[in-house]
Amino acid sequence: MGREKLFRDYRLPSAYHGYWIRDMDQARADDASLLLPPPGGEQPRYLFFPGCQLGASDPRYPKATYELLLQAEPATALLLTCCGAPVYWAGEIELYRSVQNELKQIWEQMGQPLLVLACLSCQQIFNYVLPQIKTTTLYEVLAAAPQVKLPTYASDEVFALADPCTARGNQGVRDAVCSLLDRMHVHYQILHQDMEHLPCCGFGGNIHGANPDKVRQVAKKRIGVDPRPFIAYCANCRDIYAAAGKDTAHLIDLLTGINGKDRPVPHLSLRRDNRRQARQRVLGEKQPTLIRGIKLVFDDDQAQLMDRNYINTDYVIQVIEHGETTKEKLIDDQGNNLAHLRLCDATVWVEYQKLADNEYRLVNCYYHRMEPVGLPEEAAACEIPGASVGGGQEHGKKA
Amino acid sequence: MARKLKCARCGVDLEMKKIDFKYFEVEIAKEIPCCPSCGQYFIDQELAEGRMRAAEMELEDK
Repeated sequence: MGREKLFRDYRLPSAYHGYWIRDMDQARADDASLLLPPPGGEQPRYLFFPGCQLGASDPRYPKATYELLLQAEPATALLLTCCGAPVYWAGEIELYRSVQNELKQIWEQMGQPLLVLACLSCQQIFNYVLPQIKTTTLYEVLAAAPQVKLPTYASDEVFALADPCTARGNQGVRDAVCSLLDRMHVHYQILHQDMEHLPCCGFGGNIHGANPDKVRQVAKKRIGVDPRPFIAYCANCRDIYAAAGKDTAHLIDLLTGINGKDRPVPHLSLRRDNRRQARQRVLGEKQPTLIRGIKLVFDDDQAQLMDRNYINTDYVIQVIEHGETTKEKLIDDQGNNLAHLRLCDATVWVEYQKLADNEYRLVNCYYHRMEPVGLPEEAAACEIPGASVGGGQEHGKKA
Repeated sequence: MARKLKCARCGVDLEMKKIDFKYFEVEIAKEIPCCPSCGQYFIDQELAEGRMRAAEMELEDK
């Protein structure tokens, strides 16, 4: 594919894909990923793969959907991790293959169960690269299982069903979604009848990194075609449309009653924490996560600042930890601390105040990609702790 | 007025020094505050999001 060649020829700036590749690393790290056998300990018939964006969107989704699936098939195992889409979209085929090989090994160790996917992007990628793995979707399994208890809705409100672009040509999944909506007495109309030309919400291909304005432009166009609230069955579509100001429910919201149609989008910096929480919820752990034992205090304005700069709380904490442990930091006349750390393809600067032992308040953060020349080599950190594949590499950067 | 900064490791005030910066084949030079003892430096938000960002995007948009 074209991107593979661009990457091989060092013509694809790592800045375009770096954020999402590190996001993948985080989804695959020990504190966010999980392989859980069926509750009864039997050989799994199904392996549920919610995808890395479902728990990032709402940490309750993976557990709630797993519980529904267990009503359909008790011999269902659960795998929380990423399918490798970010590296596939970045053209890093070698790394992508290693991610998929790990997933194939897990699937083989589990006795080659039917892979049940909640994300159509994951399904597209599995079908393309590992065609020997038989896949279906969460929605098709639930639609075929009348014993699964679903809520019913009495409202007359009519939704518009916005199929994801990755459902192109997949009439089976749309039929299943419609069947579930009918079963729950939800009123809806299909937004785009032509299954062969379903439009993209703007998420695919890591467009954010290269052209965030394009994402907003595409989303605005999509939500402008119909005044009714949307139903999406892709977590990325749901969050992109909601971020653009459209009332959008995920089908899972209706299936589980977790959210209404007006749930705000989680800040980018909270999505990683949501993944860790999703894992904890499945395991029944209640302790809140402290990243590296550090509590970071920040307000909504600062969360938006981090979102705009693609700097998340993990990065901020890594920089603070570096500043505090090495004393490679500066102190201004107000007593604020300023530390920086090279994180793969960008240097992140964090201004912060110490509130207590292991508790810090974020004051400001920003980044640059340029590096100083002729100064002593500085510390750098690329690795997401526990990431089994991908951490520590300077993705897309010429050696 | 530029804020006064002290190196946390050496305990001395930072002094202005000309430094070269590079991103792939794009280079710029700029005077920035540096520790005269250990070389720690400071890049402020204005430089990072101004001249540096413009230079970075010049390359990335090619």
